[in-house]
Amino acid sequence: MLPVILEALLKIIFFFILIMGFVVVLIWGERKGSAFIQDRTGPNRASIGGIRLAGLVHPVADVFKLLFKEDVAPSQRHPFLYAFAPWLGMVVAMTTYTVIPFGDFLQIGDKVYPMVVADLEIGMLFVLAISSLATYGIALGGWASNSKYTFLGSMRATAQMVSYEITMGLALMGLFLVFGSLRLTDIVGGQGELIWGWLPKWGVVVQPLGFLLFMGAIYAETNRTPFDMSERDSEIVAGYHTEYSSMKFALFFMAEYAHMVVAAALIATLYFGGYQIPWLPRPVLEGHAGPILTGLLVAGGLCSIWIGTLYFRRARREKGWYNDAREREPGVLGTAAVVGGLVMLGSLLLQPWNIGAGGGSIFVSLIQTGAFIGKLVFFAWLFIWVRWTVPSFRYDQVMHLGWKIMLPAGLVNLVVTALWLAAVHR
Amino acid sequence: MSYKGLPEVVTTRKRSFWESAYFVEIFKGLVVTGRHVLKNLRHTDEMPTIQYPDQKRDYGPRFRGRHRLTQRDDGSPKCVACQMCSTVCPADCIEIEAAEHPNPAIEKFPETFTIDLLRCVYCGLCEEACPCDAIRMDTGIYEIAADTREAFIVDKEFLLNNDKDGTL
Amino acid sequence: METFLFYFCGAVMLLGAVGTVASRSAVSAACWLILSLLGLAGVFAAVAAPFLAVMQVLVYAGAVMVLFLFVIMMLEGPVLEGETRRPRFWVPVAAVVPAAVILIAAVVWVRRAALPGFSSAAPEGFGQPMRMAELLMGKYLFAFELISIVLLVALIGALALGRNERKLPWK
Repeated sequence: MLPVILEALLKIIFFFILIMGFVVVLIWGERKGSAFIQDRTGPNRASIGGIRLAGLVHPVADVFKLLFKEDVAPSQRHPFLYAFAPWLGMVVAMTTYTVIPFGDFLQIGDKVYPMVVADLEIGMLFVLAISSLATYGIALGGWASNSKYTFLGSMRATAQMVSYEITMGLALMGLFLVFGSLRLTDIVGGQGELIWGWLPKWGVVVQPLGFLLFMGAIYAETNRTPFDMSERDSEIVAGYHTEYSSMKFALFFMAEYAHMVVAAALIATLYFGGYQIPWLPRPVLEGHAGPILTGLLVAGGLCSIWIGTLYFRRARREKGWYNDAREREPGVLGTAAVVGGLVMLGSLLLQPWNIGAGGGSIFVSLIQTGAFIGKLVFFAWLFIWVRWTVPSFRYDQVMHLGWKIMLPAGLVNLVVTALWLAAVHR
Repeated sequence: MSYKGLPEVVTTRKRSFWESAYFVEIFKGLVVTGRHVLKNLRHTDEMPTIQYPDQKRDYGPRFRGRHRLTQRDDGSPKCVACQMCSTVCPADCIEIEAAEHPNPAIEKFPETFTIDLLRCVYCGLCEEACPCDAIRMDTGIYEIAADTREAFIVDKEFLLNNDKDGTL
Repeated sequence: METFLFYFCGAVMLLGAVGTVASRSAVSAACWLILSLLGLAGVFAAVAAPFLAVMQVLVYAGAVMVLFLFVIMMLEGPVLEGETRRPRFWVPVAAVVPAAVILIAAVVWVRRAALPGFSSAAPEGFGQPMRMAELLMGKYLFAFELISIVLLVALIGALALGRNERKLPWK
């Protein structure tokens, strides 16, 4: 019993760190990405000893600011629900990932550990059930604040999330039919196959319409632009969290980004092969683990040294710009990059090409987790990218799109998929 | 579609199928914004942002900054306490107490000359009104900050030697 | 473990039920009801019916109650005057005591009745979606389809009743 709990705990901690780390990085990415899209520089001031990391220190400063801020709450609030709502939002966002596989298995010695916290047979339904509870965090938070703007925000969010949950379920049903399972590990495993020997059987390939519908629905579920009905600044101040401040607001804020991470992980898992690398299934990777690792180390080491020299060039160019601790930054980062590169090249002395079968298996597991995280990063960035590109819908447009376009399209997709599968399998 | 037979004023262009399908248009938009991101990633230094405390925008010579009182050769203020500036001031932020000048050629001089910088709207009318070029707003200082409200009420001595940095 | 989960979720469910009838404002009652439904889902999970448990959360707690809450919030409006104060100490006591009594009674009853789920191991795939689907689409297909027709009739009936006969200006 104890090793099982310990194993689960380690996986949970992995995912917790992954999500919380991504939340920090995404908040930074949102600010920096929006800045670059609009030809601004974005945050670049906060620093620790002159090291600014392109503004990555700002989220840290934000955390401290929010922790020490005064908690201003409306006097006519519902005391329990007001405090409960942000907690619920965060818990729901942090629970969903339990069924998402971040690799197929990790073999250490004779022991095989599946790289998923809980491999439930009801898999995706669990995700849908938990994420349907996310509505309460927003609805109750808005109502308990006892303000008109928060109330409007929560009403809009409730209506929107209820409407788009149906589309999401319908879009997913087509996928379940294709892969014949609700279990996420089965779905990801099925996506490792090739159609006609060259096309990866990714969800997006076999269910293109379903993918578009799911994308739309999940953007609505996470309340991101173009579906940011619940917090439209120009209409209802800040929507459901207008009356929240300090750490309670931070919980809502972090929950939004945690939702984004989970949504990106779901898109990657369901429609883009999860941890699978196209055309490179596990046996192939394991067969060439030594050469691949050597190649990666050499390439990584050289790249790192090259980046380091770029930093040194910047250090020379920026000499005398600031006349304070910030001048140290390119030098320090450049040294770190060069040292890192040298370590990577130096590890060649350990003969990584003779990694052996056991080490090769672990290496492949890590590579696959890396592929999963890479896809996750892309889709998380897509959330930000879309937000700063697309204007948001009006409320009636959201409802029209959800009920009159996406819902029938989801039904058509489901029926066509079912008929096609019936014809193929007969 | 018209309302009660009135002619339609706002005409909307008919959208093609791909435009109303939305995803293609979103993709086009993403390409545009993505191009901006790549451009700004590659040429971080060429961004139009002025890195404010480190870099400062060059303002024109006519920029109205914080006030100063001009001096005669002997260091006394040129001001003759005629009250023109405080009369014309729309924010009513200048207060002058006149006193008799020891030099009989000059009638009066300001005993006190205070400006409430929090009330000032930097309109420059005092400059225009002054008959003897005693008050000017050509210091170019616009970073005016202090910890207390009282510190913003500046006196004659401050205004006579007012060309240093922004903090009060 | 399952036994503990069963009794714990049963207690939560009862607490939610008592809270539902005891609370003064409709929104609080709805929240208690949600807790009760979640407890029921936990009970389902404890007796090896994960599919039912998830469906309980998804359909009742996640969809039906959201709509309930939506309507209640719209109609009831702002937070009630008395609700803004913290509840006095005897209120939770008054909620917990009957719940505990009912729970103890239930435990005694359950012990006596000896539910089959506790006495013997569940068959392979029991309560899993595949097995459920086989039953619903095979053995009970007729009843299943009949229920869906009933639901369709109810839907059409609701539409027919709710249709507004009044001529609206923009029609």
